[in-house]
Amino acid sequence: MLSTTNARAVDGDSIFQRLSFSSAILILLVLIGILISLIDGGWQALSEFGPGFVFSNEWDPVGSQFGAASAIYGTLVSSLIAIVIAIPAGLGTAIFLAELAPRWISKPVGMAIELLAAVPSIIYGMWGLFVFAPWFSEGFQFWALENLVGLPVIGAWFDGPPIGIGLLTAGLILSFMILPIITALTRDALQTIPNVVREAAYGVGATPFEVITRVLLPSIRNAAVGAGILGLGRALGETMAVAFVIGGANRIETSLFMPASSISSTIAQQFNEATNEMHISALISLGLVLFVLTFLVMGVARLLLKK
Amino acid sequence: MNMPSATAENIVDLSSTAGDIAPTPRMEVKDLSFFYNKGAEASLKQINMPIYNNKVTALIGPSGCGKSTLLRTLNRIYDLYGNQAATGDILLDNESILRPGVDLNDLRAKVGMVFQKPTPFPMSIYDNITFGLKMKGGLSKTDMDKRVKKALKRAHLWKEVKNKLHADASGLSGGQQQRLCIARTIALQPEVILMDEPTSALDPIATVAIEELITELREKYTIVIVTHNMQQAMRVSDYTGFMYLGELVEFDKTETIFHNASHQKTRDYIAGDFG
Amino acid sequence: MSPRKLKNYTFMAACFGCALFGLVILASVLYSLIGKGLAGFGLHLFTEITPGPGSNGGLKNAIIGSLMLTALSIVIATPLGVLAGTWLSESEKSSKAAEALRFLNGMLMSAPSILVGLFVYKVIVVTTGGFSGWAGTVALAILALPIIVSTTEEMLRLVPTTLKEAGSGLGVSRWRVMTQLCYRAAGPGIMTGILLSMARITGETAPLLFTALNSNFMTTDMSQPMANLPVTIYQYAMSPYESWNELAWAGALLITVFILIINLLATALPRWIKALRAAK
Repeated sequence: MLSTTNARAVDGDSIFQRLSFSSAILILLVLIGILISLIDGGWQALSEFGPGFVFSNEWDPVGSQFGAASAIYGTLVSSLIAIVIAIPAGLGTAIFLAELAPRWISKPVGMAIELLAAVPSIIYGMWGLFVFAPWFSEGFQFWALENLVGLPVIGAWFDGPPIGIGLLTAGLILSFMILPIITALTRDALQTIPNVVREAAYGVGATPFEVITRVLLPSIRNAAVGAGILGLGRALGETMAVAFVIGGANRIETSLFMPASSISSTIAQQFNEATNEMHISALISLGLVLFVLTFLVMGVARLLLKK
Repeated sequence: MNMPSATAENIVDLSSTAGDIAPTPRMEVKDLSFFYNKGAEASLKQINMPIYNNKVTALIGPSGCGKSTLLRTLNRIYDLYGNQAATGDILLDNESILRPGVDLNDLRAKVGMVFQKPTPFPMSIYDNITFGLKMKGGLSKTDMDKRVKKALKRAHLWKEVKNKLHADASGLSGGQQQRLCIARTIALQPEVILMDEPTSALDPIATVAIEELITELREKYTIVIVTHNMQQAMRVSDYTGFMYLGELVEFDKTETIFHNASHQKTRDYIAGDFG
Repeated sequence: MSPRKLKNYTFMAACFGCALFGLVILASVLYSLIGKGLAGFGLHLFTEITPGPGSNGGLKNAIIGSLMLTALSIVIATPLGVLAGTWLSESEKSSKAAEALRFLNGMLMSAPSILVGLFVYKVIVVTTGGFSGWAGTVALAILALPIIVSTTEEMLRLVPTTLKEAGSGLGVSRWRVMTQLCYRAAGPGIMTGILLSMARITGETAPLLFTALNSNFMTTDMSQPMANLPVTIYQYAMSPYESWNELAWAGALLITVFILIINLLATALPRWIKALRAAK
C-alpha cells in the first residue's frame, strides 16, 4: 500500500519552506526598516525646514538652523573626484593585468590589488591623515598655489590653504579606496572575453592599442560602466576614509583645498555630540538623503550589470 | 534454450509459449500525457503501457522522443519542478500514484531511480547507502550494517569497497560509483528500479558489469531502463517500448521489437535509418 | 616610429603607469601600517586595557570586545543568511518575488554602513535606553547578512540538479535533501562566503559609532557600551596624544592582519575541506 501524505515529513518540508521564506523576507523588512527609521527620525527636521532642507547651505547647530546643501555638495564633489581618477586608473590597471602583463607579473600584482580592497576604510583614513596629507601639502598644494591658481576656471579650485586635508584630499583618498574594486571588476570582465576574439583581432595585424580600444573595451562596456557606478556608490556612502581627511566644515567653497564635509562624515562627527533634538533629527535627515542618493545610483548600477 | 540459428519465426513462436506463463503487470501506465509547462504542447501523448513484474522493460527511441520523460513520471520526480504536470494515470500494484495526497517520499522509496551520470553523495560509501535508510528510521546499527553489506554485495561492489566503507564515495571510479548508486537504491528494498541511461557515462568494461548486474537484479526487482544503445536493450531487456515524438509507437517482447516489429517506424529505427 | 606605433606604446605605458600607481599606494599604505604599527606593538596590547589621556596601556578590552561583536553577529547572520539564500536558490530563477528580493539584497549589500548604524540606533539604542554590545552586534549582523545570502544562493545553484534528484529519488524529503545533501555539497563555498562577510565587518567602524559606542573598561556585558577596535582606533587616531596615536596604529595593524588571515582562510578553506574529505 502506498501511504498517503505522511503528516510528519510534510511538516518538515513546510516548516523549512516557511523558515527560509521568512529569512528571505527579512531582507525586505530590514531595508524598509532602515527607510522608515530614517524618515521617522528625520521627520522633525524635514517638517521644520521643508524641501528647503536639501537646498539650504546653512548648518548651524547652535542657532538650530539646518540645511543639507553643503554636506550634499561635499559628498557629490568628493565622489566625483574619486571616480574621475579611479575609473581611468582602474581601467588602465585592469588592461595591464589582463592583456599586457605576462602571467608572472599579473598574478601577484592582481593579488596585491585585491589585498588593497580588503584593507578596511578606517586604515585609508588614518593613512590619508598621517601620511598622505603632509606629503600632499608639501608636494602638490604649494606647487599648485604657485603654478595653477592663475589659470582660468580651474585656478580657483586650487586657491586655498595648503593644509593637506580638505575636499580634494577626501576625493583622492576615496579614489584610492575604490580603485581596487573597479580594477577587479573590469579585469574579470576582460578575462571572460574568449581568446578567439583576440586572436582574430591580432590576426588582421592590429596593435594591442587597437585591439583593446576597438574590440575588447566595447564588448565589456556595460561591465565597465557598472563597475564605475558601483565604485561611485561606495564613495558616496563611505564614512571613515572621508571623516579623517575632509576637515569637517559645513561650507560650500570653490576651492577644493578648503575643509568641507560629506553627509556621512557629518553624521559620524556630530551625532554623538548632538544634544538638541533638532540637531539629531537633521543628522538623520541627512542619512535619508544619502539613502535615496545611493539607492538611485546602486539601482542603476545593478540594472546595468544585469543586462 | 540454445537456438544458434534462430529465425524470426522461431523466436515469435518461442515467445508466445513463454508468454503463456502470463506475466503480471507491476505498474500500468494509462492514457498518460505529460506537460513540461502548463498549457504547452504535451511531451508525452496518451501513453498506455504495462510494466511487468520481475522483468526488465527497456524504453528506446531517438533523443527527445520522451523516453526519459516517461521514466521520470513513474516515480514523479518531475514533481520537484512546480510547473510540470501529468494527466491520465499510473498504477503501482493497482493503486494510482498520480492521485493527490500520495506520499511522494514513500512512492520514491518503492520506485527507486538510478541516473545517467553517477551521483554519489558527498559523504562516505557507508553513509551513501544509509542516507535513504535513515529517513525510514527504526533500524539498529547492526541492522543497518547488514543492509549495507547486503546491498553492496548485490550490487557487486562489496569486494572492492569492504575495506574502505568510510572513505569518501567520490574516490571511487565511475563504474563503481554507478554500482554504489544502484546499491543505494537496492538498500531501500524497492519494488521497481528505474534506470535512466545508466551506462552512458561509463567505459565498456564498467558497462558490462552494470548489464550483468541488471540481468541478475531482475529476479528480485522490476526494472525499467531507458537506453539509447539498442544492443544494450536487446541484451538486458525482456520487453521493449519504442517511442517517437512523445508517443509509444510499439510495445512488445524485446525479441519481437527487434526482429519482427509491426510498425514501419520501429523497423526503420532498429535498422538504424534514423535517430 | 610611425604614429600608429607611437600611439600603441603611449597607451601601453599609460596602462603600466596605472598599475604602478596602484602598487605605489598599496606599498605606501602597507609601509606606514607596518612601520607605525610595529612601533607600538608589544605584549602589552593584549594584557592591558585602553588607557586614559596621556597614559600608557593596551587594547585588551577593545580586542576582546571586537572578537565578541564579530563572532556574535556572524552567529546571528549565518542561519538567517543561509536560509534566505536557500529560498532564493530554490525559487524559480525568473520568478518576480525572487528577482525582487535578489535586487533588494544587492541594495542592502551596498547600503552605506553608517545608515545601518542609524537604523539600529533608532530601533535598539533608543528603545532600550542606551548604547550596548547587542546593538553593535545587530548592526554588524545586518552588514554580514546580504553577503552570506548571495554566496549561499550562488553556491547552492552550483549544486547539480542530479544530486537533488538522486536524493529525492531515494524517497528522502525535500528539506532533508537540502540540509543533508545540498548544504554538504555547497558547504565549502558557503563557508567561504561567511568568512568573507566576517572579514568585511571586522573593520567596520561607522555602524558601531552609535550602537556599541566604545568603552574604557574591560567588560563582556553585552547590554553595556562595548569596547571595540575600530572605534578605539578612530578615537585614538584623531586625538592629540602621541601615545594614543601609537596605539591606534598598532590596532590598525592588528585588525588588518586579522582581516588578511580571514581572507586567506576563506580562499584556502574549500581546498582543505576537499582534501580532508578525500583523505578519510
